[in-house]
Amino acid sequence: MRISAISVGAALLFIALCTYSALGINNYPPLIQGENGLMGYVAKVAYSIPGVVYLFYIVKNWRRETQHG
Amino acid sequence: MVDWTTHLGLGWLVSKTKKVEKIPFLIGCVLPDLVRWLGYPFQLFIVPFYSKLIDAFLKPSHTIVGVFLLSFIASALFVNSSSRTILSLFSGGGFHLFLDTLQKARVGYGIYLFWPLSWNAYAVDLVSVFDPMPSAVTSILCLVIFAYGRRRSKRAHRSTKQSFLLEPFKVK
Repeated sequence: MRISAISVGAALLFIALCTYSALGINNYPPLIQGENGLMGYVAKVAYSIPGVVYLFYIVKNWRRETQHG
Repeated sequence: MVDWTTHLGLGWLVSKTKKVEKIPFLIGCVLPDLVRWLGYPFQLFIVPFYSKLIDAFLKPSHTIVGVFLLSFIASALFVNSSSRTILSLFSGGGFHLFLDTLQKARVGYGIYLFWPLSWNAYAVDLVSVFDPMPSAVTSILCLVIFAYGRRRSKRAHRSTKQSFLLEPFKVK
């Protein structure tokens, strides 16, 4: 109960920080179009496939894994 | 951003040391990206100004303060969460930030580690997004460790079985 209240508080604080970050948009450098473009996303997704499969495995066995470590 | 294979693979190797809770640590290893990836579909298909705005909005996920807060938020997912769960989530997130600082130090790629105290971005300039080496090396390393662990546990299981069979013949 105590931890969930802390989680809600942390979520509200995180949203506030995100809003503050968005308001300071002019302080960030412009987005680059090279590696950060469509091909960059494709490369990231392609290399991430084994990791994503493992994450799905963790989520699928969530209860068993969290109970037995 | 280093790919998820590297993040989760190296995280899995670190979790083998048993110093952290395995699943919270692994979730922590991808937690900053789980938040940031929410914005990617919008960033890809909308006009640049809003793309930059979404990027700025989700930037706190890749800061120490952001990871600290996200660890508390994500701890709600665990039924028996304790302070050790939160610490494991936070160390996983910290490990994620460490790996992300290894990437190319080009404009927009640095990690704003000490935001909101400082707007400086940090990057070590070692890995490119297109570099398959980190994920390839991590995958091989994980497979080797997994195979070794399996073989060792099989051998241990076999020896306990043998000792169980010899039990009745032991002289008391």
